[in-house]
Amino acid sequence: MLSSNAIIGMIIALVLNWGSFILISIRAMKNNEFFED
Amino acid sequence: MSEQAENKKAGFSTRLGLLMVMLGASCGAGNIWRFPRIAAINGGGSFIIAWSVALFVVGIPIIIAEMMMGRATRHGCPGAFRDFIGEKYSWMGTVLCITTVGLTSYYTVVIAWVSQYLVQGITGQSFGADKEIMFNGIANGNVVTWIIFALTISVAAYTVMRGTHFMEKIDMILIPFLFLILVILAIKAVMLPGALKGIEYYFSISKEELLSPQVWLQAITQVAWSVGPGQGLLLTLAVYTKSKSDISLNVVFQGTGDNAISLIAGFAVLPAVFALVPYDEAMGMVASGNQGFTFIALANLFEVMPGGYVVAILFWISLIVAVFASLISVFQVGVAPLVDIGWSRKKSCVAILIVCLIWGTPSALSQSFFNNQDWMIGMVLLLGALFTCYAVVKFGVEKARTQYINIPENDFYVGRWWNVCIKFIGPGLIIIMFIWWTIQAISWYPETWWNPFLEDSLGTAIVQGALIVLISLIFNKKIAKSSGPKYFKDDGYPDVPEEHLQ
Repeated sequence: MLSSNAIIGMIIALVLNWGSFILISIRAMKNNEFFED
Repeated sequence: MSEQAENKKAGFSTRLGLLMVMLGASCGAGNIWRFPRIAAINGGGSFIIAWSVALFVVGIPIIIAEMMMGRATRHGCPGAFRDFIGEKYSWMGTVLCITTVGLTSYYTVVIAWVSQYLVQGITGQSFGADKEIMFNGIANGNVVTWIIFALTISVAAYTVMRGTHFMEKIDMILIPFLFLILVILAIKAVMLPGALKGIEYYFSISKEELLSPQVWLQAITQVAWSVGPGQGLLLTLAVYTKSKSDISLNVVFQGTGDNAISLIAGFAVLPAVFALVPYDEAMGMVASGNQGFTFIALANLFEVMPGGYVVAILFWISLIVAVFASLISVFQVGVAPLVDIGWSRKKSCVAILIVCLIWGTPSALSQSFFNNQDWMIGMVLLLGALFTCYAVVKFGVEKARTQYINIPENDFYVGRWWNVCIKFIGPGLIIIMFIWWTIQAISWYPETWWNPFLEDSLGTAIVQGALIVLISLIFNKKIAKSSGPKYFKDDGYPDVPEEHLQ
């Protein structure tokens, strides 16, 4: 089992990096020109 | 030019295409062979927190500034500095440009090394071989290495010659492919018996390490060498972007995407290392440098790992894809200034290809020369980040933010935090990092640190760096005069000029 310290570290790492990446990707996709040629 | 016409003609056809090229530019060997081992050496979770913060206070703000300069001036690095802050500062852009051409020259060699590991892995030739002898044979005086190096740089030149639409198509395939391979590798690694030890180490946070200046300096270094502020990459790509595309959102996507891919690479590597070898041995592996870790330690590990044959092949492919994706963007940094002086895109690509073949040949034939270039270029690139901050401060930080970055069409607006980062935090941390690496370099050779003929001495970085600056200063007037017409009138972004629409 992972220690609570490592679990907290993993959550922080994923939220800071993957979380912001996913949020900004969603924001970018809302733009009409995302797939537009 | 109407917006519709500009959409058709501008370098990138869709925002997705631009984002893939931006992500491709920053995702390279630094994500796969550097990040996992630097994270492991510097305390895992504590390092990751520092590295995430460094991205937002150093990497993203400087890259936003770079993109703004490129789009505002519609010129490669020398012309961009000329038009943005004045003719006598073109040399700053020239320094960025020469340094990045140097980076292109030696960086291509990585693909030549990895390709041979891939072929030997597929054919089974490498199985049981002494990896140290094998790597020394590949990296020193090997004609095959040189041939693959020459072929790779030629393919990169051809890709750039075909134009930004073609680069966009290539990166639309390479980046999702890279992501898929890394996810497969990460799933395989975390399912190994004992992988939890690696994950535990990867994410554990310690107060001492979180407060350690060294951990923070390594985190900033990782951002500087992976995301690439100050390399002129995004400044050059911005030349081809539409006037209304959102710089800040695109850069945040690129920066967080680069970090996200590094995190997966960490999942792909560290659990496997810590699962298969005892802790002390694992730490020895990650401390053995990029090349020692990848081509000796990991190559040995793949042979004892369950399913290691497939894992090895996928790992080598991921490295080739990552390096090539960034290679085509860095190659373009050298091409754009030549297009500015009136050369055709084809002629410019051939010229940069010849320069890279000449500059890169010693690195292809000698590991020691490769290491020398890697060290020197890494140091000089820090100057590029400082020059970019200086240019924006001289132009006016608030004006740059309110008139050029936060345009009405944006989906994402940059706050005053950006002013603070560009004026104080970014340059301040880069200067501290510069001093820290200088002190480190002196400590490696306390008696002979000044010697320019040592592989990674301070002396060699100073002498070669000074030479690049000197050449840029001597030819400043000539380069400034020949860098094409001035499009920047300080009244918004000009359209993409005809010469860059070839």
